[in-house]
Amino acid sequence: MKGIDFEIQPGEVFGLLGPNGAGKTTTVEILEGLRARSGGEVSVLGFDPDRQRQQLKDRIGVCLQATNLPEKIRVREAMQVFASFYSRHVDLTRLLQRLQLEEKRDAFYSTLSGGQKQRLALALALINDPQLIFLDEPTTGLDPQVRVEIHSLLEELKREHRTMLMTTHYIEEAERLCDHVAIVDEGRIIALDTPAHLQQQSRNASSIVVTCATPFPQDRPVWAESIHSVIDSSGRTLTVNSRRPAATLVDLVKWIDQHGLELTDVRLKQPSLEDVFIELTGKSLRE
Amino acid sequence: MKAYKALIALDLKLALRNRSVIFFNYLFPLVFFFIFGQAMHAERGAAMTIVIAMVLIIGILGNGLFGAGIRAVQEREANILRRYKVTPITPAPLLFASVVTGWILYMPNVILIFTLAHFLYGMPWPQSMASILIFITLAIVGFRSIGLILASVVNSMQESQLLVQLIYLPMLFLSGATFPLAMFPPWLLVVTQFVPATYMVTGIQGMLLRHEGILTDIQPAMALLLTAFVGLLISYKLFRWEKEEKIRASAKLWLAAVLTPFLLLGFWQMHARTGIAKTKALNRQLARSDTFLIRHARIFIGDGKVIENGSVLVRGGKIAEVYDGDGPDPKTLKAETVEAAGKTILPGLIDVHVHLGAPGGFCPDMSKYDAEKSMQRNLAAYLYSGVTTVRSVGDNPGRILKVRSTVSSGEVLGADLQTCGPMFTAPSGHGTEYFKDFPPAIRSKLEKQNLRLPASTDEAHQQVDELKKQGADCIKAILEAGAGGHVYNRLDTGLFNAIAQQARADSLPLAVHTGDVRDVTDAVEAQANSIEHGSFRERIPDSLFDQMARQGTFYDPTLSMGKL
Repeated sequence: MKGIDFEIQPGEVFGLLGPNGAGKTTTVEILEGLRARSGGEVSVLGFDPDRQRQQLKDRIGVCLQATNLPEKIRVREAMQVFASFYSRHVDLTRLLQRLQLEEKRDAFYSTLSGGQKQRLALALALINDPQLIFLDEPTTGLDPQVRVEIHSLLEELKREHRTMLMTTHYIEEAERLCDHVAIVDEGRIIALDTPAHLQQQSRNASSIVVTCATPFPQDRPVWAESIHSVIDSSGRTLTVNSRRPAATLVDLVKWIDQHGLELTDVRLKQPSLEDVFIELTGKSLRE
Repeated sequence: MKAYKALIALDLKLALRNRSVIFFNYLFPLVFFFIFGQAMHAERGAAMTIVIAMVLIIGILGNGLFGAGIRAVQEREANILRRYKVTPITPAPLLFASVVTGWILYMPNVILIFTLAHFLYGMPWPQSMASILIFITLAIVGFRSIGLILASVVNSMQESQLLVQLIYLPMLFLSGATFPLAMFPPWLLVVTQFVPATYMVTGIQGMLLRHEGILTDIQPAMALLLTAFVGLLISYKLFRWEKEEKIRASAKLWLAAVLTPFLLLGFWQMHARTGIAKTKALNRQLARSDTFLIRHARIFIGDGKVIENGSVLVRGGKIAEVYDGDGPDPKTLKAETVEAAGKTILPGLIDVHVHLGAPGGFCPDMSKYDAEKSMQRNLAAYLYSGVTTVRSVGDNPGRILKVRSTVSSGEVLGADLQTCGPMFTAPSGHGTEYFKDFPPAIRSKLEKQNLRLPASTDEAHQQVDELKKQGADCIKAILEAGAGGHVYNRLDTGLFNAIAQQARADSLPLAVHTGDVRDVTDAVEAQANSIEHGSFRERIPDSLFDQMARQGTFYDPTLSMGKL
């Protein structure tokens, strides 16, 4: 770890994005009180994770990747035993209902599907009504369908203004759920902003793609703020790169109108977080 | 506290849902119980003790090493502990729940085994049941912590399997739990004293056979408690929640640290040897405690009656019944039959006048003479010849009392021994002549050991009292003036009376060596309990014998038969 410095506001979802070995897990483990730090200052919910480990753990919820429960534990028993570890806990029946595990309350852990196991893991992370939830790769290794299921649960938590810190490999997960994203590489944060701002900061311009019923005239101007434009082989699709796509678009639509062209489709393509990531780290996320 | 209760409840539920837990805690010991119970004829008595100790030890070892040790490794390897790591609990409730669960699971099995032994094999309910349960509890707690420390110092499942076998097998085979210690050579018996399970075997057997309380086994009990305490403490300190956290190889030394109490006990036993003595005594007692019926023998009852064809039932080392004829069916008596046609059974003989410290001229090389061994060998020879009790009327008290304790504990087989210890006589009296040729320094030492030469009545009282405290069974005094070429100083009558008075006060029977009628008369006047030899030179008047009969003074003529 070389330079990790961030703050999470109450009620926000904060994402740590980075390739394997970037230091995400180490960072999270230090925050959770699982690992002692060699230097620096850390305050989580006002606690020092090194010195107030037990108090801190009592107030946070953690959803780890690659954990297990005993095969022959029933869902409700797991809930009861974990509830006993905390100084306070929520109503277990309601929590089970909420995570759609009510029907499975008497099922053995070994009989649960992957999605059910992950929902149970989330339930256990919520059992103490935590002030801060850590989600370590919450959907890694799950089927796409189950991932959607978990995402909607996480979105629900987000709507309740739960404070969450998540690490992820999945860019769309971060785009969809996170209020702020920190991109971590080689033990340091190389970018930290809202997903939208990060995308705007990209050196890659946005592109506007317009399609008309008839071919464009070959002779075309430089629209406001535009950098470069190209017409495809059909002659009916024009792609314009721009630093400020809004200004360019107004100018472009005016020009189309002047030429009496019939507009059939307009699309705005912004650089994705993945593009930003690759641009910043020179690595792909799944590396 | 909530977490402790919840984890115990969970561990119990998980254990009951686990077939192998039920198998190893219940089915497996029961299979052993019945197989060995049948094969060893446990219904006859002795084998039940062996079978119970074996089954309990196998169960305790399995419960501790596999139930606590292997399971803890499994939970770590399966990433279960990792989930607990992010909760506010410490390892304490996890370790505690493991120990308590093991105990709760095991205790019903103990009760079950004793119930089966009682109802199916006729074993009486143990008198020291509370001590047995306490002892087993300590054993479970001790071995669960050995299992847990083992889990704390291994890095993989394979390592744990290997280490468990390394502990399990010696505990099984070098403790007497499976192979009886009776068949072990002396050096291997020393090795067994370093094996914790040995103390469990001898402890449980002692409680069953001799109704010993937990205090008799206070050393192993404390060692178990210490092992449990140190084991849990170190397991707590070394606790790892994730398989990725590896521990250095040298951490395995902690296992040795946990076994240190037993290592110390082993070294202490190399010196004290009480453990080995107990083992031997228990084996002897076990061999004796079977039930057997000796049939078709000629039997001297001991009251003058003779049964020409009869049977004797021996149960738990005692004659339970004498039958004229064949007696009942041995099967209904649950007894082993001993065919004794053409043989004669008579009550054990008693020799009331021996000196075990005198080799009797049969020791060709005095430099190799070992008094204690010779005494033990003599007692064994007496027993072999049908003399079941002897009374030593004059021996070195330190030596003879030691021999008496090894024989009475059963450590060494031999005739029962009663002893007077040293002999009371006068300076230059009879008894001193054996030592007169030694240099003065050695002579006075030998006289001090083997004789008592009181100079005053006070000293006489005090010397008798002292022997009482040392554990003498009786007092021997010599009244002998000698005759012809052998003239001795005779013990002063006043001193003799003081000895007799104090012996009576201390309830010690008084045996008096006498040489002539005057000696016998003085002894009878002093209410001696027995007259040894009588008179070598004169006839004892009938009136004196009448008086002896009236007051209950026995006459031991010490006649020997010889062949010319």
